Amino acid sequence: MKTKHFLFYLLLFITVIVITPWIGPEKTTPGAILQHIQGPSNPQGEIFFFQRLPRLILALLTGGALALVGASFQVLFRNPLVEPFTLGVSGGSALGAFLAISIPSLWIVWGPFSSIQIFAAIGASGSLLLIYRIANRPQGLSVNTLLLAGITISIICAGAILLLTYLASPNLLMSFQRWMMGGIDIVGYQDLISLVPFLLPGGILLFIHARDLNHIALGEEMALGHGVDVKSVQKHVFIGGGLATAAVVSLTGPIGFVGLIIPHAVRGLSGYDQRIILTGSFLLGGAVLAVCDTLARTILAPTELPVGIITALLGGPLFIRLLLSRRWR
Amino acid sequence: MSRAPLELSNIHHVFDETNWKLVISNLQIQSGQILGIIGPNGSGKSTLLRIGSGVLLPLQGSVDLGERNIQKISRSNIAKILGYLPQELESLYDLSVEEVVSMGRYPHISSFGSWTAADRDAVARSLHFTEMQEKRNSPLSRLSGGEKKRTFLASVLAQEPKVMLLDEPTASLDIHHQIQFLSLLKILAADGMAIAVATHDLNLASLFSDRLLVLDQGKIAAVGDPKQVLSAELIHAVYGENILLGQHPEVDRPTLIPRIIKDKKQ
Repeated sequence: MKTKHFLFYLLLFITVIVITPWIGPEKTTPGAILQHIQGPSNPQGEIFFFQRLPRLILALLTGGALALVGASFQVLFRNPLVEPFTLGVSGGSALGAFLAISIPSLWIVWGPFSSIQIFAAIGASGSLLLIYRIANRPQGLSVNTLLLAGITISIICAGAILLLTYLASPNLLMSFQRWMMGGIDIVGYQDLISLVPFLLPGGILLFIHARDLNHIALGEEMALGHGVDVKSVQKHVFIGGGLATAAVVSLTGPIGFVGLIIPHAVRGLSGYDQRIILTGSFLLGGAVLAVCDTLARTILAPTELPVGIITALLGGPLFIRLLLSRRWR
Repeated sequence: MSRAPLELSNIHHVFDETNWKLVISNLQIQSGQILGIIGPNGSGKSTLLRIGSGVLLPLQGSVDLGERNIQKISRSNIAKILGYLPQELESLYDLSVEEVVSMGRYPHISSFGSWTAADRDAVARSLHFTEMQEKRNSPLSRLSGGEKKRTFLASVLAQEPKVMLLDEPTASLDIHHQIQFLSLLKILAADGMAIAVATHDLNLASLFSDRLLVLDQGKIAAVGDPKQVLSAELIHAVYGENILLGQHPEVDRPTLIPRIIKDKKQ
C-alpha cells in the first residue's frame, strides 16, 4: 500500500522532469539537444542545459523543501495552518535581502553566493537563532513559545521592511517588490550549489524523524510513553525545517502556499503516516512548483511571471476548495 | 523480597507558578499488583505518575526502574520496560485502531528496521486482549470513549512492558466498561505486571486495587491494603464529611456512598 503511494508520487515527479524542460517559448527538440551534447554547442542546447534544467532542478528542490518543511511543522506545532514561513524565517530572510539591495556597500560575492543571498541567509539564520533562544527552556523547547516568537519576529521584520521601503529610493522599490514575489529564474548551476550546505542537512534531519513525528501526532506524553525522545525530535525538526527554509528562501524569496497546501493534499491522498507524507510532500511539492514555473515561463511569453504569483493565484482557490470539501480536525 | 520494578525515593517537586508541592518519601510499584492511586482534584495523582514514568523530571529525588535511575536510561529503553497511558489522549489525525496499536512497537524497531513476526504477534495479542481486533480498521473518530481508551491501552500493551502507569484510564467510561477495563488490568497483574492506576472512582479503586495510595495536597495520606486505608476518619479528612462508608455485599472491601447535603434552613 505504502509502496504504491510512493511509486505514484515518484512517477509524477519523474513525469514532470521528463516533460517540463521541453516546454517554453523557445522551441527545443531532442535532436538539437543530442547534437549539442555531441558538439558543437547550439542555442537550443544552451537554453536547455543552462536555463531550463537548472531552473527545473531549483523548482523541484524548492517546492519539495517547502512542502517537506510544511508537512513536518504542521505535526510539530499540531496546527494545520502552519507553513515554513510561519516561523519568521522568511521575515528575517526578506529583511536581510532588502538590506543587501538597499545598501550598495554591502554588495559582496562569496563563492557561489550573491550578496542578497548571503544577507538573506544571515537574516533567516538570525531569526531562527533568536526564536530558538526565546523558546528554549531547561526542560526543552516550548512549542507554543516557538510559534508565538516566530510570528512576533515576522511582525518585527515586516515593520523594519516597511521602514526600509519608506526610506528607499524609488528605483530600489522595484527590486524589493520583485524579491518579495518569489522567483526561481536562475541561469547555470552556481546557485544550486549554494543550496547544498543548508538544504541537505535540513532535509536529512526532517526525513530521519518521520517515524517520530507519527508519535508526536498522538500527543507529547503518549509519544514519550512510546519511547520517543520528544525534546530532541522537536529541536531537530525545528532546526532542520529552519535550515531548509532558510536555504531556499534566501535564493528564491518567499513562495507561498506550496508549504501549506501540498502536505494537506498528500494526507488526503495517502493517509497519515509521516514516512509517506514527508516523501510524498517532497515529490509532489517539487513537481507542482516545477509545473507552476513552467506556467510562469510560458503563460505570458516572452514576458515571465514570478512563480510566487502563480502559486498564490492557483494555490489560494485550491486551498479554499480543500477547506470546503474536508472535515477539519 | 525482590526489588520493586519501579521505586520513587525522596521525591520533591514544586510547580513555580503555584508553589504547589509533591513530596513522596518512598513508593514502590510491585510486580503482580495493582496500586490504586486516589485523591481529590489537584492532590498530585497525575504529577506522581508523570514523574514515575520519567515524563516529568522531579526537582529532587530519584526514580529507579529496575536497578537503574530512570534519567540514565534512554526513552526508548524505558518504553521497553514501562508503559505510560496519559490522561489526555488526543490524536491530531484520524488514525485507525491498528495504526495506533502498532505504534506501541516503536521501542522494539530501529528507525530503518523492518517488522518481524514478534512485532506482528505483539500487536495481534494486544488487539485480542483488549477485544479490539474486530475494530482494527476503524478510524479513531468512529470509536466510543471506551473503545478509544482500549485502543490506547492496547498500544501501551504492544510495548510489552513489565510496569504500567495509567492516568485515569476509566474516566468517561460507563460502569460496564470501567469494570471490563479494570478486569483486564487484573489479568495483567496476575501475569506478573506491576500496575499503578490513578482514578477518581473510590469504589472501583477499593475493589480492584491490591494496594491503595491516598494522596492529599501533594503528600501521601495513607498507603496499604484498601481495607485498612479506606477508614471513615481518613476519607472524611481527605474528601470531607459527606461520604458514608459501607461494605461491599459480596467481597470484603469498603464501599463509599455519598451523603445528601441537608438544607441548612431545615
